[in-house]
Amino acid sequence: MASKIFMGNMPELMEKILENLNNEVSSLHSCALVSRHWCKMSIPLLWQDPFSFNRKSSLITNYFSSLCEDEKFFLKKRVINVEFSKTLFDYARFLKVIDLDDLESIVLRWISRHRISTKKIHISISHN
Amino acid sequence: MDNGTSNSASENETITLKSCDGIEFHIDARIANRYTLLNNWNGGESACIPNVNGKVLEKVLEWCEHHINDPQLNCGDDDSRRRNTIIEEWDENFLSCDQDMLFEIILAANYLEIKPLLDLGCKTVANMMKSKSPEEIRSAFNIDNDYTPEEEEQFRKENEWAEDY
Repeated sequence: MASKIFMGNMPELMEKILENLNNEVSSLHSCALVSRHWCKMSIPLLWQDPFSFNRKSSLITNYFSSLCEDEKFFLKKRVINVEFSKTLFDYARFLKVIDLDDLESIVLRWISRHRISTKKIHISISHN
Repeated sequence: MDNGTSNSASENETITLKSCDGIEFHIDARIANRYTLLNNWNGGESACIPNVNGKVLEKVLEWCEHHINDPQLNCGDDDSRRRNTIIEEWDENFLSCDQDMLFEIILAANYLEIKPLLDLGCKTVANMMKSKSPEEIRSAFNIDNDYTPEEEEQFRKENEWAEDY
């Protein structure tokens, strides 16, 4: 039988175990696929600093898709003409670390690679 | 845990602890000085540590005894210590026990607030997950997959960026 630590009885201990896998993106990805409970525990760690570890512009699609409706509406109306589908988690709310210059360059790459139509030629991400 | 400045018990002083199944252990009082919660169950005829059986308590105390002269960490050192996943050889051998015992030690260390042992146990389990596939982790820890195929597919799609990073 699996330890009660992994069955949802002691989330604080499972969190403590998973914290040791900080920055081990592939291991956290595997953990998240073990079961639904493991997914719930691993996702906040996997998404706390995704842009430092991944330069794939497809990450942006999922990141924007997980923004709240107001934020998506803002993007659609003011900046980017694209439909965002609903995601399993609100990934954006787990973000703890972000370098805005990095984000800007990934977003620009995403726009050009996916041929996203924008309402402004120059996207500028606010540093405020 | 105290701040590491007081260690008033002398080498010959012992205290008595009793596990929940009634097994008595006479330990160096300096151990209880380091992990103040152990002091709570010192001595009394009927006092025993609930939730920790003799087999597990013996292992926990063995670890405490081996590490009796370790420098005590300040709270601020915790994170950097936890992030480092290297484990000393003695500790690695100590925790090369069966998995049930490893989890029992983690639960006891958590219950008794023996933080360095708790961190070590958690680190050991995390190392068992490193670079493993979901299937390997499931089989190592006996976990059932309760994803629906649709959920799993959507998860994979949304987190494709992290796969085989």
